[in-house]
Amino acid sequence: MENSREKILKVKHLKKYFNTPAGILSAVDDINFSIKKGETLGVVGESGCGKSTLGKSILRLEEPTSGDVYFNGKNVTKMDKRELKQIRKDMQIIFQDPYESLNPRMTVSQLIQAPMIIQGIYKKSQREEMNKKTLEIMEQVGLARRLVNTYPHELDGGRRQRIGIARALALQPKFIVCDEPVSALDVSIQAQILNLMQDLQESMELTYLFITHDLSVVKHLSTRIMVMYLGQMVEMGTPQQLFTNPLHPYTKALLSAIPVPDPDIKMQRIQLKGEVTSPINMKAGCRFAKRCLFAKEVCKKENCPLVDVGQEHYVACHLVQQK
Amino acid sequence: MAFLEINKINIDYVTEDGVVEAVNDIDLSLKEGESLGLVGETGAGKTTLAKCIMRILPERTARINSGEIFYKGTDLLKLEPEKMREIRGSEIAMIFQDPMTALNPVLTVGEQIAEAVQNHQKVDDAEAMKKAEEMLELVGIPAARSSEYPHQFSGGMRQRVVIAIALACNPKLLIADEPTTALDVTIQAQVLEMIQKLRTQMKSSLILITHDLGLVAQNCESVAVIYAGEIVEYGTVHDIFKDMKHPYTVGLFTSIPKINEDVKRLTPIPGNTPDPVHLPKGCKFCTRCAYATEKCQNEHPELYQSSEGHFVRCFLKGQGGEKYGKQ
Repeated sequence: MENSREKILKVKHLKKYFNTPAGILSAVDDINFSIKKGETLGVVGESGCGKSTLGKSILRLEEPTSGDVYFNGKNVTKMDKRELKQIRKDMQIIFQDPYESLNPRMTVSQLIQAPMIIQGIYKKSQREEMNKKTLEIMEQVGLARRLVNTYPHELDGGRRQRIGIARALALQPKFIVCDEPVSALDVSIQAQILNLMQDLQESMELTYLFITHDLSVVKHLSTRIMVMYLGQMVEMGTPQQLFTNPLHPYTKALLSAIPVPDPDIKMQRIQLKGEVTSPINMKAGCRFAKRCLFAKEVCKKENCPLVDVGQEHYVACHLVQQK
Repeated sequence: MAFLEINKINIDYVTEDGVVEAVNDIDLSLKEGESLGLVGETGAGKTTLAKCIMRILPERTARINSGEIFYKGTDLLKLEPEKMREIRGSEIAMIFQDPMTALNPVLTVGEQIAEAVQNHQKVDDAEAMKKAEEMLELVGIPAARSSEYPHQFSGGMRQRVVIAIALACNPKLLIADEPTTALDVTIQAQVLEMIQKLRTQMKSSLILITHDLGLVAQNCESVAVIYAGEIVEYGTVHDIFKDMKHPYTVGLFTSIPKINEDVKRLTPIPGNTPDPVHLPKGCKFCTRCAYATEKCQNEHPELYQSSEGHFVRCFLKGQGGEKYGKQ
């Protein structure tokens, strides 16, 4: 079963709880997984399921409540500030909203150079080399040279997201958390950015954690996909496993809700009861039980562990496991 | 005369940077009970057209240069504001994109629905509130929650409140502008099923504005593809999805990863949508089209009929589209 490729990232029992006036919100609750080098792990789920918090906790942009994150064998959660700054060269993030994640008072070149300066890659005397490198990166992400001194507000969403990608690439990272990088873009631009990200992955041997709510995008890009619900992983498998043989009732419902762009295929939607709530003060039992059409007594009482049902297809559901 | 007929409508926005030609010579017609999808990217002019039908364009900046919008035989653009106000909300209603901003935060949802009712029907407060509660139940929200404020609802529920307001007076034409873009897929499916159910009950027509081809395939009978303020292709949902002819339509389809097909690599449309202040002289799509000829750059193509009811604005008469599709 073990692939020969090394595991670049291992996440063990990762938890991130927030204190809210209503109680403790378990945004990320005991998540375990690993990513192999060069892989894309897609993370899907609806708003509020904790997928962004998961990405940020891995990079320690949010301080995890407990659990461990191993990057190339080193425990990121135990690192002090200096070590963390070092490791951030290898671990980067691309944010969702290219309108809000760029400093409006910095030019394109300043934006791309900021990470290099912060990390001390170039000294003051190496201005020229840094400028050369900037142009190289701009070319890599498809930004025209003439844009080097423009400001973000002069550019459209697609180009701004290219800056976001350029910034992440500036330090030649090995691993990038992509937090809904194409959600704010029009379809024709979205396709351009997705192709760019695939090309970069190939040429730079990048590993992605790709967070999105768009199931078509995640199916297109991912080596494996993790489905999250209220802070927990409910299913994980290859796109093939998940899309042809979804096992968890939530995955099934989610897949059945996607409108297929073909008028001859009529949707057979699985109706869900109610809406997603917040994981505040969670009690034992399956978190999906309240909305699940098949929930039994055991589902409401006992937590359901994640079990491998064969060929690294993991699912957390009492009903599947009883079969 | 058709139920709704839009003739050669032209809308400009006057801005500091110049005149933006937002809608150019759009012709459309809609039968009673029909559902039409308006597809296109940001800035294509979809919302401008919808707001024009509702006559809620910003007066200071928007300019309707020419055209007519006949609704059941009356030209909406020539109506007195008072008359239009009677039609707006009762005959034609609109669902807005963002449920977070479409509701008044200081009024309860019940009051907001009742207000819509009382604007058009002579009923007292108690009766209007009763109607509001009925509408809430209809969209799947318990009547008991009518005294709550918008912030107490989730996004999906707020959008349902917006729908309840739009449907409160049984409109004959419903314009839904990206009604589910802000919602999760499972909620999106619920909301659309609800719109469809209510629409069949009330026999209303629907104009669905969206960039999601999946939603169009599942909810519409006819489709208009809009690019830079123009209809570039129009036909039945089968014409557009199974026999697309315009290179832009084809490009839209090759750009999206499809849930029911495996594609290794997407084929995006190169470049960006043209600057609306400086639109290309000939075909508006020529700057991004792989098949553009000199003629495309200099002359503006008219719509031609490729088959019964299927119209395409392209000099290539389907050749380009077909070539594109086979890639």
